[in-house]
Amino acid sequence: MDKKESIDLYREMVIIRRLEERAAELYQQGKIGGFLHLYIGQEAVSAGISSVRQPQDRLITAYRDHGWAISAGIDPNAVMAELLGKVDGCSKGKGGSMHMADTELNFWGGHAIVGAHIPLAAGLALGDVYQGNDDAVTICMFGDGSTNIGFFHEGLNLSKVWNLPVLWVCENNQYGMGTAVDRASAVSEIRQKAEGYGMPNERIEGMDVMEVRKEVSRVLEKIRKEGGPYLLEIMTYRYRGHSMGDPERYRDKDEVKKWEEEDPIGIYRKELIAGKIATAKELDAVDEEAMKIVDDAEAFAKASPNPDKSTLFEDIYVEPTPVEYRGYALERESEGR
Amino acid sequence: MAELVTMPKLGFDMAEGKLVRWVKAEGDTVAKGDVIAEIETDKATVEVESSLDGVMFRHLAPEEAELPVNSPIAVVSAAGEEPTEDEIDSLVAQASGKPSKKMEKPAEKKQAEKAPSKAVESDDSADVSPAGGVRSSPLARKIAENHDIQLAAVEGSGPQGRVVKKDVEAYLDSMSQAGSGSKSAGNGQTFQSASSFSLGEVPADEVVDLTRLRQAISRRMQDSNQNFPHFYLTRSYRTGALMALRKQLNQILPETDKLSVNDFVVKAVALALRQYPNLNASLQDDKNIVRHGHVNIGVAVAVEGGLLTVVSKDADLKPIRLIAREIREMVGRAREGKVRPEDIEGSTFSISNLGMYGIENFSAIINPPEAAILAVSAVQDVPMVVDGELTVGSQMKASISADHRVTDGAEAAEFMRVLADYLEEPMRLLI
Ligand SMILES: Cc1ncc(C[n+]2csc(CCOP(=O)(O)OP(=O)(O)O)c2C)c(N)n1
Repeated sequence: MDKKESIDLYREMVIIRRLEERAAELYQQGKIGGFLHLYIGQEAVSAGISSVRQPQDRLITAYRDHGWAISAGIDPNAVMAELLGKVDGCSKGKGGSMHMADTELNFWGGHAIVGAHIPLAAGLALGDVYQGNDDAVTICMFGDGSTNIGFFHEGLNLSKVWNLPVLWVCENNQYGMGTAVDRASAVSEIRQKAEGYGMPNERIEGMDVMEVRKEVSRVLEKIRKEGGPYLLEIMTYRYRGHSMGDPERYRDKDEVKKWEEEDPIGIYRKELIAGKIATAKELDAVDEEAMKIVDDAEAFAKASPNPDKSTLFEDIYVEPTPVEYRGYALERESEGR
Repeated sequence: MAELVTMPKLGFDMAEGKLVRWVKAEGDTVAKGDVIAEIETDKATVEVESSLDGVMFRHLAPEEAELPVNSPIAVVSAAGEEPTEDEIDSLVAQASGKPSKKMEKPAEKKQAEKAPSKAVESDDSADVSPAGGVRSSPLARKIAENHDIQLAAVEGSGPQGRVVKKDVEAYLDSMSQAGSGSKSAGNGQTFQSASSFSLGEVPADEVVDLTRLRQAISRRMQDSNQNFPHFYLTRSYRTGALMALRKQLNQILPETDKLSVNDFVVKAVALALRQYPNLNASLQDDKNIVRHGHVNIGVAVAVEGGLLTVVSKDADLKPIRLIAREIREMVGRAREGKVRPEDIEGSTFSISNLGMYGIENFSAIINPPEAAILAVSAVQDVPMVVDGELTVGSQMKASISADHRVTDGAEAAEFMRVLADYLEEPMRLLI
């Protein structure tokens, strides 16, 4: 990685952090609808994986997806506009926080139903095999909690039966909502679940972006060479509640503090300075730049209009469905109800 | 520059929050990320972090205030800055379109009203901490809070002594028994001597959750009373013959099979309904009237905390003795809380009988989706004119409430007259 790439990676992580902090404020002001799940603390995972993901590699994740959207290359303006439900959002303002996506960037989205995107990942990979896209790998992210759901086991099983090129990645942030891993999972190391499907697996640390990058790059190349699925469990931690308004009674403040000492941004910053790749001053400038990008994104999002009601039924099916068939709600609306 | 802190939205459906506690007092230094207050939402008490650096200059809302999302709750100023009243007012006005003074007043009033419950409130966070406090379920906490009791005093029966609903209820029961011992002893002698009155004994208002049963009753009765156009007809029935027949029959029936007046009424109503199928009906989708083939008479039964209707099926076809036995069994199950679904399903017409309470006349609310209900009052000896002579006779009043969409006054009146044929010549009920 050259200096520019290294600093870009740092900037990306800081943008994710600042953008989400801003999102939390906007949410509290009532400007963001629905739920808001923050990724703060887990940035090294999305930044690390995305830095070695190739353009042909498909990416799909769950609802904690703002970091992934930015790492996948979606403009922060479009991410913020999506959060505010505006027409210039990456999902045209109709997806919101949990449904960021951009298929042109091969990012197949955030998904709100726990585990539901796991079979979709198997399907994406099957599609690549079918079409002969030999060097494409599908990267499927999910939380520790979703590995207790049937979808996970069905997806893993089929991916092995059909030897699909999927990198299954469990982002183990230690809690599924308020439930600690060992209270809901029969095995405390999630990676062990891959054993049941005869799938190679590993657990790695997820707070150091360079480490994530190195390990994931190795595994991706292995899949490209040898084919077949692989499961990685990446140990990480979320600093904020599960979603906004989480009273966090399930964990001690000290536990959060301990993990905050291993802040992925702090670790990487130290590495950059120690490795003489960048000076503290240069990085401070990047911090300011990130802040400005977030300020601009907020202004952009606020200026963007709400989606038009007439677009409500668009973008649901691949082939547009004539409104007559789905007319009920529109009819009601035109009656002014 | 001074900035406002507003009531944060902390969940997708949160409209209002309660300011439980100020963590930062006026004058305290505040840094981004510091916890400034605790806010209670529908779901939980949450610590709110500051998104501003500066000094907590002014609390605009007192503890315990309940405010809509986005209402101003505080002013944070830059270190050393002293915003003027005008500046604060204009900040608030900008944010809410209202002058700040108006914000403060209702909030203050709330605080005064709620002040006594504060002790419970502050315990709340300790109660849920699995570390040192009392383990408890959210429902148990809510009930305890409503009754102003300390959870620590309640013995928990759940895992690791977790306090659950039934523990709090048992505790409440034991408290009320302890408090009412003398009252139950003196039954019939409840007058206290004047000197024993003291204002200190006025019990506090009590807030009781609607039980599932009450919720169902309130939903159905509200629907019926608002949406069914009721009309009411009342008639007196001479019950001398009926009482005599009942006496005669009960002399030959075993103790377990004795007939009540209501059993005769059920049978009489069922037979009368055979002739007036429009009253044994329900309206369907505002389009059709379904005239039921079966005549199933619902009988309202008072149970703890509400009422149920047990259903005497095909009462027009059954002998009174069987009707009586089935109703008695169903009522027994209903009172013991062991009612079976088939006991309470499928009624096509209902009867509510308050005769045993000495009620002289009343009207009832239709039990949806039925078309009518009969309210039956007490059998009483009253002065009456028989063959031009004033005498004393046995009489009972009954009122029908009917759905005017399905039937009309004349039809319901005829039904009431035919009912008289059965009740006043009760031999007809036996053949
Ligand atoms: C099928 C389904 N069940 C339950 C939920 C509610 N839910 C939302 S997030 C969540 C926890 C998932 O935890 P995990 O997979 O560990 O992801 P994390 O939040 O830690 O990123 C649950 C149960 C849901 N969205 N979908």
